[in-house]
Amino acid sequence: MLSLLKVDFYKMFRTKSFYIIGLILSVLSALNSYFYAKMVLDSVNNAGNFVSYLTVDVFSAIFSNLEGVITYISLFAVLFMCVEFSNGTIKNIATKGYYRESIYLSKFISSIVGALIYVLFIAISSLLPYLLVVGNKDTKIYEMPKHFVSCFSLLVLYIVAYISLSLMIASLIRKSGISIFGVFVLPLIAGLVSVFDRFLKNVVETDFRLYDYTLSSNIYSLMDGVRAGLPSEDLLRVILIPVAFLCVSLAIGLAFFKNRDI
Amino acid sequence: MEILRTNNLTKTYRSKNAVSNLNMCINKGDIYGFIGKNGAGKTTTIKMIVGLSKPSSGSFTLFGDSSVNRGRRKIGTVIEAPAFMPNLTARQNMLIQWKLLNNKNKAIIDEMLKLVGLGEVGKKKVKNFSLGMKQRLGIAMTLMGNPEFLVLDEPTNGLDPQGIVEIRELLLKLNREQNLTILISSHILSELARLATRVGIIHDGVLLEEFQIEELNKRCKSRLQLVLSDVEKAAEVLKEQLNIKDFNIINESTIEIYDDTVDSGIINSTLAKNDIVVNSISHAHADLEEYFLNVIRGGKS
Repeated sequence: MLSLLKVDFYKMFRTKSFYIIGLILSVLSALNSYFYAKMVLDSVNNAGNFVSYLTVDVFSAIFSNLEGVITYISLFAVLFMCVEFSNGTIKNIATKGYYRESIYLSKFISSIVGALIYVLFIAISSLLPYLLVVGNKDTKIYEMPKHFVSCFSLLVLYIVAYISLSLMIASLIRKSGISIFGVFVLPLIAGLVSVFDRFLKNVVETDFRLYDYTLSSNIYSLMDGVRAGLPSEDLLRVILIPVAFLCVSLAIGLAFFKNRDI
Repeated sequence: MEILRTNNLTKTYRSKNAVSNLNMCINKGDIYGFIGKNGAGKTTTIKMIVGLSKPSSGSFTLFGDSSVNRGRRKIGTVIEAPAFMPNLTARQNMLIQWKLLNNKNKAIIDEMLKLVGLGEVGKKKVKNFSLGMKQRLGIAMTLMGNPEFLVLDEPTNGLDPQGIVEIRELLLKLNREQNLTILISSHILSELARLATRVGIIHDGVLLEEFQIEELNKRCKSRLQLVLSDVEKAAEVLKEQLNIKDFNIINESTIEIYDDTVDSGIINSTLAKNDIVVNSISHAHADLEEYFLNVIRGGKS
């Protein structure tokens, strides 16, 4: 397993797409936080208030764009898996007597590490524009959000769940193009579920909403909750939904990867 | 020592048997030529052996051990086309394989590159390699783990004649010096005939024959080939005057006689006496290619 991880990390750091996605994420995050900081500063100045210090929260900025961040991270995970099939290099690994489960888990773990590196990129690139916009004021540039560890753990949990889903899609489809399409279609499924809920409400007159059990819906809850400190309402659901998605997609992905021919 | 033994190995796709109850045996030091048409089941068999495909039924042992994953660590493989990370150099691709094999000796990377004639490629990316260079790199990668058993599916695909000879000589050298066992499938049967010590013929998923290469000569009948002016009249003469019945009219000017006891001089003079012009008489011998074609057509050589 250690040899597989070494190989996967080596490949990851030697792949152009890893850096291209990192660059896109960094630029988008930088732009996002620049405009956010500028908007905050302008609104304060327009109000004519004397500003002794300004509190800016980089962590909230990351969460404000969480869906976009997660889509790019999913894209990276899908490409990381599919490139092995398109280059045929998966054969080199599978013929070396490693268990298929180990090969899949190694991809999963290295994708998570890659995603955490992206989060670091995003944090740095979100912080720099703040310094640029409000740095010349007598400001308190960075403030840790409340419940930082809990919020960060939830962020990681959602990223891990999405990576697991992406690897499952990649191991089922194996072709980069269609798998990428699948990643972009995922958020649309939540929209369809929402439409289904409205239909269900009209027909059966029930308050049950399937949409509440989608990853997208719970990401919005998480994003809203982080702004307020921590999602207190339905916290258990916000935790359990990604755990359920993670377990199911990991099981399906592993089963398919183990049993299908290469 | 048995390196590979399959027991009724079968692979079914939907309801069609790609490989059907295959029983083959490869011993230590063999160069096993695996012959069959496209779609005969060669690659499917090889994929099951190396772990890319699961058998539908049946089993096999590697190095006498039914725990095949352990055995697979001693195998070097090139299946269909060698696979690389195209944006990396030959050395970087070798490094990936080296890490996979958990090898301790890093110097082996350069040794193997030199062995296959890629010692000087430097920082050239693999995507810019010729097909022949890629095949050579593929073989270098398989050799890096000091395998005891090489499984090569069409290793000479895309190679120029010189490349084919180089690969053949490399494989013969490895077999001779390191007693390396090799399973090789190829469409170039003349090449296989020069390389293989043992041959298996597969057709429609069924292993039709398995034999030592020395046996091929015994199995392939020699024949006398006559090119003459009137084949119909010659056929009559052969039957009635020389009492030869084991012959075949190949085309309007050629007859082949399969009875190796006949004297070509007597045939020549008898035909001449009957005013049949004999343009040439030659002895011909069936080769592996011809033998293979005969076997898969269900005939005898």
